[in-house]
Amino acid sequence: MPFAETPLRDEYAAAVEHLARRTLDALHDDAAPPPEAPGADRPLLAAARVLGPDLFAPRLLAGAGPDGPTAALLAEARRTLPPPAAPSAGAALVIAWQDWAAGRLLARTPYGDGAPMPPAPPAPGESGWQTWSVRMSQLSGLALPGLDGPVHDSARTHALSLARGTVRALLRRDQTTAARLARWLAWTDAEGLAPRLEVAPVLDRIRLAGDGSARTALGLAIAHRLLAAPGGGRPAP
Amino acid sequence: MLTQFRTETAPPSRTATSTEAAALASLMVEDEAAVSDAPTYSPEAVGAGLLVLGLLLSPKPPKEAKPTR
Repeated sequence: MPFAETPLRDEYAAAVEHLARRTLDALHDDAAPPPEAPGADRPLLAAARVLGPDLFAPRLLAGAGPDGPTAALLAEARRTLPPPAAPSAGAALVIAWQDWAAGRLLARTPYGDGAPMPPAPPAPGESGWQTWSVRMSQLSGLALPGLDGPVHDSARTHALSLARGTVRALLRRDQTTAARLARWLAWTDAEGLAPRLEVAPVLDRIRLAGDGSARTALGLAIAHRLLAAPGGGRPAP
Repeated sequence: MLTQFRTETAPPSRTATSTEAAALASLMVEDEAAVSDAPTYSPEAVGAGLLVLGLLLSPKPPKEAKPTR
């Protein structure tokens, strides 16, 4: 293996990149990610745990539901790797919401396990728009058609704070955080809300100056798809 | 030297270890990059005073010489 002698986190990060690249290819091809070999190894399960709802992005953005093989992989990852202990209460809330989103999508498949809804994250008025926007960037995996809840309500209500957070991240040259917040902005655009910031130039800037990782590229591609089809990514009622 | 690298790989057991949980948590919740904070306007009285003092002490601009006959 190319990363046999690296720390465990690097090994899992490499697996995340591998799986994100496959999902990105599937998104470009308008198909579900190709199924992995049966008996997935542990780094792959960890990668599925990390990417969570994003694994279904190619299908959801095409207006379809979660596919069986990807759902089986994610369900096995959730079984094998329970939610990790977070270093802070805020991080625990982020993991809980990511789990909730994955559970909501799995609930449309035979692998649903009914994840409980966590408490709503604090509003910008409580924690300040800077802290709030960083928290939203960590929850950018929820910015997908077919998912809706208190986090999405917060994004709708505080679109201006999202725009402020995006600009702040760009000024700090934190392209990863900027890409994740721009994805939320694209999601609000697809929801038909008035734009608070022109997203397309931001996405171009991040594409040129970003970290070049497949995970960020996947987020950017999802944002482009959300922008290209306002409301079109959502399944018909 | 190769010995400086840890040789920890994914555990073969089916239960998550604490190291594994920490690796997962750090990948699932990535904090913003600690590069630098956004540039903010922070006026400093000393700096402004020095500027004013420099302006007052600076030589006056030369005047146009009057033509002599």
